[in-house]
Amino acid sequence: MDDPTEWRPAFLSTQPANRGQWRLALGTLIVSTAVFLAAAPFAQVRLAPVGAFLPIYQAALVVIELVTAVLLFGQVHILRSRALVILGCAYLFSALMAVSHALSFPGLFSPTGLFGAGPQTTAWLYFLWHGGFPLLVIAYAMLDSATDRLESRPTAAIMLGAGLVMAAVLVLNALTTVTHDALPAIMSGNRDATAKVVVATGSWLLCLAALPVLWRRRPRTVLDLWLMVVMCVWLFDIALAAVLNAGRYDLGWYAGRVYGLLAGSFVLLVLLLENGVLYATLARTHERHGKRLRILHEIDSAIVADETPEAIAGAAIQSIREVLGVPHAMIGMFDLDKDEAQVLAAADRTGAHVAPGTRFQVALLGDKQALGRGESQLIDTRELPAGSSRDAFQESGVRYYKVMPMIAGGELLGAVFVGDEQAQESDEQRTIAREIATQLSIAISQARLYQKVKRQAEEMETRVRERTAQLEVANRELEAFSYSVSHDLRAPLRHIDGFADLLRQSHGPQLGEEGARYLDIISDSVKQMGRLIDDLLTFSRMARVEMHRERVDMGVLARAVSRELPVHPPQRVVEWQIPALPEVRGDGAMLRQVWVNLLSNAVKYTSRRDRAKIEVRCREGDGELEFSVHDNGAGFDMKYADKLFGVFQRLHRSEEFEGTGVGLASVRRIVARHGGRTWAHGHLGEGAVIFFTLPLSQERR
Amino acid sequence: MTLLRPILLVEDSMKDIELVLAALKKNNFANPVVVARDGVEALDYLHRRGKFAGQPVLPPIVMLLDLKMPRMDGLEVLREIKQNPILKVTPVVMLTSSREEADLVESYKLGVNAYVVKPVGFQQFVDAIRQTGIFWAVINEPPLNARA
Repeated sequence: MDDPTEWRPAFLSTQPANRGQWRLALGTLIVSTAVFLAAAPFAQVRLAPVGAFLPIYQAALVVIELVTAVLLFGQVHILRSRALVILGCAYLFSALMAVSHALSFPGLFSPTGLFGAGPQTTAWLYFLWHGGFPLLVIAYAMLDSATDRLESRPTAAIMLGAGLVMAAVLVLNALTTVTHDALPAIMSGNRDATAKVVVATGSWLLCLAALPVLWRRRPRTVLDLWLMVVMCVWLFDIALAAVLNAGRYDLGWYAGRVYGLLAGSFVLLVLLLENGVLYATLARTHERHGKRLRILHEIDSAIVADETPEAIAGAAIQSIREVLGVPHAMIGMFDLDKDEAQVLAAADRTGAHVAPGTRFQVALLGDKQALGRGESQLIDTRELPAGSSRDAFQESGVRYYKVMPMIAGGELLGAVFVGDEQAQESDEQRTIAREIATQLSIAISQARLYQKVKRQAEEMETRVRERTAQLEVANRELEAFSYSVSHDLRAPLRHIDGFADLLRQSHGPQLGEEGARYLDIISDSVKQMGRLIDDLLTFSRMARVEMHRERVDMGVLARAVSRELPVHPPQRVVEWQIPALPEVRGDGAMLRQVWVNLLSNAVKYTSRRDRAKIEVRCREGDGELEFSVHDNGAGFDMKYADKLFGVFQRLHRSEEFEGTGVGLASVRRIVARHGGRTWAHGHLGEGAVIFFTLPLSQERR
Repeated sequence: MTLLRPILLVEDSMKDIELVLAALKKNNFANPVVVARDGVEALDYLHRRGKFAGQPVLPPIVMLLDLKMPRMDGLEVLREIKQNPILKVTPVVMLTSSREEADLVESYKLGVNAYVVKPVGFQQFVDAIRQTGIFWAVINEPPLNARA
């Protein structure tokens, strides 16, 4: 209720009276006054006493006022107003007093009236009734409607009010019966006594006093307006029936009763009418709310189902127009760099619409800064600068545009445009439009984000695909190349060696010692080249072949390799120290190649030692395992440590140690493919240590 | 005395032919050697057509097949032989420079009987020819024809 955007149905007691209602009330008053003025001179004309008149009149009045009270109490439940409790009590009071009045009326139920009523009882009750009611109306009108709020439960408040009213009526009844004789006489038989004028004037003045209080009430509601009419008519009632007339059953008496009945009817009629209107309004509101829910649901569906801002806007636009009940609706996105807006979707009553993609100046939409702050703008299309955009607006038959900004994440994305013939919009329209704009802005910014991500993902994918294709081509070329090397480079070598051998056999004696030595050199060179080719092929294969990761026990692998390595000469003593090593995840064949290269290197470079010592160690470092191979061989100068792992880099002459210079390069390549590092430590003549690391497998961390 | 069945050498390189012949001679093989210079000739021999038409030929005791050859390479010859119901009983030994895994796999898939990589060193080459020759030409007993 505190939310100003929450739509509330209009009530008699909250709705300020409009011009039509004022006219109707005034008309009623003029007719009443005219009738009063016409009847006043004849107030004392005696008419035939109709016995049935009073019970019929009173019964009707009681029913009317009880129904009115019930309807007013009913509204208390919705509006939680103390003033309405008091007004309901006023009508309840009036109804109960009417009952008391009828019961005590002489000659109606008993010759002197019931409950031991004296001759004065009825008249006193009449004036207490006609004085009490305006008093309660004044109490109603005195309550400030701005702060009027019922804090307790409505039912409890109504019960309390009704209880007090009943108690008051009982007291007044007692006053006029038990203490009957203490009251001044205001009736002598069916004729009025002189004291009556004083009493009548008292209650008449109370009615009169109620008028200015009601008049001052703000806002002057429909209910207040009709209460003023009621009070005026009561003035006529009292004037005719108690002041101007001479006694019971004269014209004034009868006419006053008719006024009383009319007065009771006004508020009831208006309340009943209002109930009808209220029902219709509620039904309409319900329908509108259903529609509003539906369209919000449709937008939600669009968010889920559609991926582009255009699709979302297109799916929602016609429903938006319908739910707002406007001739034209449009969703546009801003391109603030160019100060342009672009139509995403548009709809109007005939189904024809501005084509999506149409561009126009943002300046046509009012204050851009204000839009950015979330303030909506009202544009009169006739005040737009002349141009095609204005013509386009006007051609669509729209006089005013309401521009509702769409903001997401602090960024002004665009706006929902609502085109209408009039400038005004209802609270409900405003609320719905704002809600839709909010929802759309979320949907559209999400869609844009999604598209952006999708585009980037696609770009990425394309790039990866291209790169993969390039790599595949390069790989295939490399493969073809190494196949050629493997096949075509070996054949001539074989021929050289083959024919050199044939030459040795067939012409050995003629060649002599020198010639035989040359042939040996040719043979050695060929074999060296053969090894080089094999090593190079291995080296290049290590970079190309797909890795098959598996669990590899490094200790088992290293020991197996150490046993298989040929030792030259066979009588050499090699002392192996290979402890149990951890398992790693890696390509078994490749890791085997690592051990083959490292351990065979160690064997090779310790060949000058009497006792070769080769030791493998492993320690766990920061997320990695560090393996090392220590030997007591020839070692190397640390100056050249960096060169060790390069292809064809050798720190020894081939006469000292045979080799191709590819072994450690292969090791570095394999280790790098496993995500590890390689380095070496050494001193000339004191041996070398080759280190390599492998990342700890995930399950061990 | 029964006629010795020939060794069918399929090899495009004259130098390799000479070296293989030298190696065979060095190992004193008695079997005649028939040389085909490519896959087409090899099949011509087996089918007794082309330049071998009308000659009374014995099925080879073993076929030494090179991989890389003009016209029709070793794998194609192998495929054709192993798909032919009569010729498929011929023992085929790949004798090649290639140590490529792909060639090995493909040869065995096609049903090769052995795969020998020609060593670069001539002594090792002679050794390889000797061992291959002894096994296939002497120890092994292939059927004469596919009809038992």
